Amino acid sequence: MAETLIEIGDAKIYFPVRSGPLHRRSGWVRAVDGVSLVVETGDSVGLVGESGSGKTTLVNGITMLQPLTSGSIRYRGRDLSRLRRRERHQLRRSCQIVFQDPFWSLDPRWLVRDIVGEPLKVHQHLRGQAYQNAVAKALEVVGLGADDMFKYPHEFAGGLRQRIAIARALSIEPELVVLDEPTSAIDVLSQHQILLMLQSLKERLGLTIILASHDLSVVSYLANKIAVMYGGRLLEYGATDQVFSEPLHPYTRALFSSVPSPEIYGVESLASLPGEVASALNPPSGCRFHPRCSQGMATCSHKDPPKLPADGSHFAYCWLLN
Amino acid sequence: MEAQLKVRDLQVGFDVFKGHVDVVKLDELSIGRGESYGLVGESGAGKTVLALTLLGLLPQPPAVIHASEMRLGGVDLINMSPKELRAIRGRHIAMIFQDPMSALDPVYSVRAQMSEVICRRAGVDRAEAFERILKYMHLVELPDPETIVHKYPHQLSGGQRQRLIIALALSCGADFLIADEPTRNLDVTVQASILKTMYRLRQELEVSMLFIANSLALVSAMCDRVGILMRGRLVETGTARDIVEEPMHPYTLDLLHAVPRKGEALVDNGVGLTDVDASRSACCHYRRCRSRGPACENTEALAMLPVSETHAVACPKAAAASPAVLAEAALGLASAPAATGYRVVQHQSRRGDT
Amino acid sequence: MPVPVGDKNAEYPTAVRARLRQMRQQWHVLTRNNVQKAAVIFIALLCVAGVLAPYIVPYPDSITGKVVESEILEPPSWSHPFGTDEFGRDIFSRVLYGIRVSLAASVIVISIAIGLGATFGVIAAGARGIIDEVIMRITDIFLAFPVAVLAIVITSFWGGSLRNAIIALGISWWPWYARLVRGTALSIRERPYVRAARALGTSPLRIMFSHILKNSLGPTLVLASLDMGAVILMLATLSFLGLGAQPPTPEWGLMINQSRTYFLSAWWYMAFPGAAITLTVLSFSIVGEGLGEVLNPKGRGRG
Repeated sequence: MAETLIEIGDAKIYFPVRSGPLHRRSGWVRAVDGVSLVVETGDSVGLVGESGSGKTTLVNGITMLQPLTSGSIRYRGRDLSRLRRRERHQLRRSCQIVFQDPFWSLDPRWLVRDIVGEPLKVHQHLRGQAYQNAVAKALEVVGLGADDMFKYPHEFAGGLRQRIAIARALSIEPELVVLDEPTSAIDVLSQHQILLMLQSLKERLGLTIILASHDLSVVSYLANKIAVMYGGRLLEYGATDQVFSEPLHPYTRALFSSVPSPEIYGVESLASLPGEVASALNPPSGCRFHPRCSQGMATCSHKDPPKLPADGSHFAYCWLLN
Repeated sequence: MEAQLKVRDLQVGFDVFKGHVDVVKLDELSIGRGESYGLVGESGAGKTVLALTLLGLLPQPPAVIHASEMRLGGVDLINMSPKELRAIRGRHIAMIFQDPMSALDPVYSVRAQMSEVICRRAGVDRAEAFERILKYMHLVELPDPETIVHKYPHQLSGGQRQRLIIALALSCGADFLIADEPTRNLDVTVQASILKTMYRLRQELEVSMLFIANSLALVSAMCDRVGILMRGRLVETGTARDIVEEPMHPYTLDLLHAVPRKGEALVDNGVGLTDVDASRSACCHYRRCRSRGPACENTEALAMLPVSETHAVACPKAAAASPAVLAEAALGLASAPAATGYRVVQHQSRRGDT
Repeated sequence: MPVPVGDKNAEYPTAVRARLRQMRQQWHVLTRNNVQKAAVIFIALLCVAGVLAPYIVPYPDSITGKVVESEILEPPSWSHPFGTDEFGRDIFSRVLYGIRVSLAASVIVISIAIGLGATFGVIAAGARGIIDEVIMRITDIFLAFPVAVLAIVITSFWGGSLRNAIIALGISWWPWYARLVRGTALSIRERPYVRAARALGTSPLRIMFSHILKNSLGPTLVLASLDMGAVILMLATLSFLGLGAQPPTPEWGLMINQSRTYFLSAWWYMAFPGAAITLTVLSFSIVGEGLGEVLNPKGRGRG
């Protein structure tokens, strides 16, 4: 029975820009500019976007590393910004994050045992033998051995370090795991192993996953729902199969066709977009994508596009769908 | 086609305190005029070391370089003095780096950096250099060159910086470019745009290119011929079509199938790593290889065997299973290893089957 | 070798073994070439000699200053390898004993400096804002004075003695550590593993100690070992000026001061304490540099 786990309501995260000798605020970086999304239990949602799309900032908002400027993110109905410190601490038990950089996300001076066991110590206050057993179990889940506990992170290659990071996230058995570009810093063959492992873990442990990645192949494999982000906004959302077979938004179409594939020889079929990715400091008015859109109309530059179709599981924010 | 770059028996090693480590060991590499050659390998495979060796940028201690032949445009690179190498660098051979920010000096404006290169190489004065700068910036499709020329690197976007690097490389008149994962740090749509620019430039200016990448998708888009590099050794070479449509080496197959495609399940080709003694075979893939067998322990069997006119593979199993090699063996023309005593496992290929 | 998880005793040896393994690797980096090996061995010998000095010193009376009229200012010989001074005291014994004085005093100075400096540095990094500003400005004021000047002023005010010299130097030296620790702590705060710790709910206090401080130790240790040489030199200088150790303490700088009158005729009196200082300072510098390489974050691997 799928229930709503995360509900993002018009979330906005703006960072102040200060300039001048007095550090006056001269503007805002609109990293996340009004995103609304629902994640149900058992879903694996892929947040797809290029740099500046806001997916990492949104992910930081969901994991309470970054407070919202306005709007709300609700976890099982509870608004994250209204929680007290103790409640937030409890919530962290159910929601864990795996970061992009498998090297720096593990403290180089700590033993793997303590890295993986940190959440166990913090939330379950385990000590001694129970602690070590729990760590061994977490390591086993990701395919590492119990004796790997007593090594330092630098003794492992990138793909294995990422597994350690995943073991740390899974050690307290959360229900939601957020992954921020989990494979972009590791080699293709290790990526392959990690993807297989994540898929099997997802099924075995019944996890809900939110995955932010710029790599479409990773998202297409692991996610059953895709959210396409650009310039801090959500452009399209739907089931992975649907979005891939019938992309509604021109940006989505361009994004999918700009990815090279081995069977495609030559570059003519690669789609390229003119101009640069929308600046978060001075975003275009109206639809964030309109300056680069080949099908842009006059309305696109004045008014924010509506969500169409208004109630459907696959929708996009685009005037062209009107 | 007369080869622009010809390398034979190249061995690059490093003397570290643990001993000597061989990083690159190439039997042969030749790139023709106007040809684009893609080198695919994971990190640590020696791609960048190879690129730096060709440019003569590898300091000789701690590196140790041996080659029986290394020619660029007919000119012998091996016995050149550093001064001669410097003259060649930029004028005939130029490199495009992965990280454009580190190749651009942050305290000089675009105009200053390009002027420096052009004035020195072409011996022209600043006014004429300025004209050329704008010309090259148009060539690499940098938008609004007149404004950008006065900016500093940190004021440009990643895509713009990479185009600038390409402009710098071309402005010296180089006819051989080494591109070391030029789009690695770029967004996907920007990458597509840069790849198209590079492709067009290559055709218009007829420059040869060594394109280094870590994915087969990129080289099949950009390159005529492809070489798969594993731990410093070429394990398979051929045209882009050969490699993608008839991959023979297990490592190539792994690379191809590692990237998930829509609607396809990922094949788990991991073999148990713990119970294999890797020192039994000189082949670096031995530990992870699905089709390993007794023939792999014979070092001679690991030489590159031609499978067709354009396609060659350094794997006894793969070459043996190829019809061309079998035919030659039947005619007693080649010393193909006997096809007995092991099982050849063919991975599911997307097109057709074997 | 898999650890039998049910075996309670297996925990400590294996964790210790991991630490030993890491230390062995660090040792290899530290003693990479002959110069570094020599420096490390020298310091090791120095420490051993310093600890054993009371037991192995050949002429214990030379320490206190009992005068032996017959052996005044004798050149180096088999019975007195470093010669004797104007009181007939054996210079070798005094130099040997001086190791204790110099090393122990320097360690105390650096401990004071780190103690004060790290505390202020961590507070500044943690609190930010106005507290940070205030602490940094105080640091700047101290840094505006050369250490020598500050130490001289303080000791002349209080009166010269080894104890006062140590305290004065400790007080003059802390700003460097405050700055270093603050800078390091600030950069570590932003690192992904600290963010990861925050994300999984670790309390800020625990993050401060287990993550930030632990990782700040490295650069601090490097500075400390480089400073050892400098502190020894500073102590010797103060003693030389009469503001530090007082006679008859066998402190190297003091010995050099006392040798000034005689050095034209008794070169050994100045040479050996001088050589001791030089070699010690040099060795600490080399080891400090080596430590800097050892404690760098381990090389990034991929795949």
